[in-house]
Amino acid sequence: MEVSAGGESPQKVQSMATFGCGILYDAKWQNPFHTANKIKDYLTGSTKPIYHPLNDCGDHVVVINSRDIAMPGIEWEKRVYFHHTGYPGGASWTLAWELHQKDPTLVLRKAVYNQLSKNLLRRGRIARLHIFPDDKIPDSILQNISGQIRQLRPVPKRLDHYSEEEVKNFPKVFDWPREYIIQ
Amino acid sequence: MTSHTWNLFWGSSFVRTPLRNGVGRYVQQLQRVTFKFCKTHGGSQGMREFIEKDLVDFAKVNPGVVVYLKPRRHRSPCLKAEYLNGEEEYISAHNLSSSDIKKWVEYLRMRSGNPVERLRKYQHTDHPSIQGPWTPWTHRDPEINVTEFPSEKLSAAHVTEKTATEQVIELFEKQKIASGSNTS
Amino acid sequence: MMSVFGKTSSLLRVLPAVAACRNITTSACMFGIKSRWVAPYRKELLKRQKKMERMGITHQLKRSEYIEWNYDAEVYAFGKRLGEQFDNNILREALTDSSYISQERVRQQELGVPEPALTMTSNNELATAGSHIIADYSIKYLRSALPLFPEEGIRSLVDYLTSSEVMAEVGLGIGLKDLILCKEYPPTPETVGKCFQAVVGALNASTSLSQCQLFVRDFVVTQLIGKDLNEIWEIENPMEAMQDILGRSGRGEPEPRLIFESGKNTLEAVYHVGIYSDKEFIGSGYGETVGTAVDQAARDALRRFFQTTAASPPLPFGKENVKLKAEPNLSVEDWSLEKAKNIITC
Repeated sequence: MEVSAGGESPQKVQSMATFGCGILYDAKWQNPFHTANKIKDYLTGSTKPIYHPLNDCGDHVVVINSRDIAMPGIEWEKRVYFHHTGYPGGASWTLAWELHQKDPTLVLRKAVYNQLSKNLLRRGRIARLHIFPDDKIPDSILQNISGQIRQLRPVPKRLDHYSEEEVKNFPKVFDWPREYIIQ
Repeated sequence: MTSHTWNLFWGSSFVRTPLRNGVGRYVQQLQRVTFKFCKTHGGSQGMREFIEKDLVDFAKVNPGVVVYLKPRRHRSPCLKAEYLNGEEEYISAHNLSSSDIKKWVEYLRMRSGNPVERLRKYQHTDHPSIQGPWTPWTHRDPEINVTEFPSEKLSAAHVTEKTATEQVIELFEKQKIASGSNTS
Repeated sequence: MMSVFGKTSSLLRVLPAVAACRNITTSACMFGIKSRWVAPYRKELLKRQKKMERMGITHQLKRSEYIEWNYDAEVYAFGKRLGEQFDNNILREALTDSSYISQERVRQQELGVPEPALTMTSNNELATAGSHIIADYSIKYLRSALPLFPEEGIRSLVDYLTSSEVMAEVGLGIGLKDLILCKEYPPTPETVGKCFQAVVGALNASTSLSQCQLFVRDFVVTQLIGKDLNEIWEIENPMEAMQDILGRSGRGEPEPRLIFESGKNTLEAVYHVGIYSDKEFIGSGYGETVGTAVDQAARDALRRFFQTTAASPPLPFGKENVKLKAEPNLSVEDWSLEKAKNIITC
């Protein structure tokens, strides 16, 4: 290791340490709106004890598996995203499932953007959010990640993800009656 | 008055003391005070009364303050205080009673001479934290350094309640143990 | 009187016209918000001031040029304010700069006095005596207050305290600016600093050495409060110094290790490096490069050795009694953990 010649003040380099770092979040099976509420705190830096409104100390948040987010109830069919081109007759209404088909990162990004405080810092904060539809992250980003946010709810395990042996050994609560006929 | 106009005149500052006053010993910061008054005009009556009754006592109690009297014909009375840091304060004493002037003199005597400004903080410390400032790595498990991201272990949600499936498995295990002990 | 009335009536006649011309009657103006004129007014004042400075016609009046000025009273109050008993003549000598005497001599010669008989003496001797007292006391005080701090550091702290900037700051802070007799006005920092040293010398001559030392402690040594001692004395190569210290103490080589890192491909890269010797933590530091972090960690380790971290106790002032220490502290070349163990710290 080389040693730098010029001594810098410890206060200065220590304040460097409070800068943002990269944090990972796995959006698989997560509610995008509850997720946005959590990610918002990391983007603004309000998870840190040194937080102050004038102190720009937010972290970068890298979200993976945004294609696999889970919406509650009938949100996919009923939630509508509005856009207007600015020209007469330019209004358009896109359903959540349509938007998700077009770009699987947009639902989450819009959810976070809507929850950020509405001021001049909003654009800068949303720029710290990096969303990827699957779990493939570029190496340059992966190298800067130094932590992971816990998911909000456990990811359910599908039946076909269990091995055959596990399924066989699973306790049977009851047997179907002999005369029970499935039509 | 808008806050902008306020700041144009009064500004803001932090708590400070001239020359670390009071750490070793306390030095009164008022170095001289000038009483300007008229000998005949009614507006200076309170000032004249103060000079006759209280000024000598004030000078005796405060030997570190140089007191000047400046009679001026037919002009309004005033107090001018000068402080060790070079600041000056002027107070109009027109038509003030002697007890009012006594209070103003007391105010001038107690001041540090620093401009009266809005204080951004009401306390000051040279050592904001003796443990050092917080960093993202304070109280963090060093195991994270060698973790490969994305990590299942760090990502999994904290489960507070048992799921129905887990409860069933638990019941099943209990039954198995009970039946096993019965047979043996 | 008539003329006054005449003027008033003419003013009154003009007034309605003025009111008619006034087109800005916003609520801001009516409620007395004056920010419309504040900026232009201040700009105009600044312009005039700069013009006067360009023309060289700004004259700063000395306080002693005012009518309300009594030098005897001022000198008396000076001593009383500081809570000291000065000998009046010695104090006056301390307040007289040599430039003032030469100026007076020239002035008298110009007035026609062939051999001016000036009885004043300049403060040169008192200043020399005072500077010795200040340096002597502060070095003994600091050795005692910072027993583990190396002698080189103590010396540079004393150099800082006796520098003309600090002396001038203290001199101005106790009100020497108006009292000092010198050629120029406002007096230069060197003159004020020298005058302050002379005041210390005068106090020694007027009272006792112990009283004078208390004065030095209260006014000079307190200037270290709020200052980072390690910034005043900076070690050029901390890693080498620490290696030497560990070597002399019979400890293992210092081993820098990365504790945490973040954003290593970015502009906001931060590294947290700890230094270990014989698998024992010595110190840690941060940096935007690994090299800086190692350097900072070495400095932190030295701060821990010398007990000058932010967590170490403050310098003793006030009623606390400090035993002055004449023998020098350990030098950086001799400093080792074994020797430091034998030093009593309070």
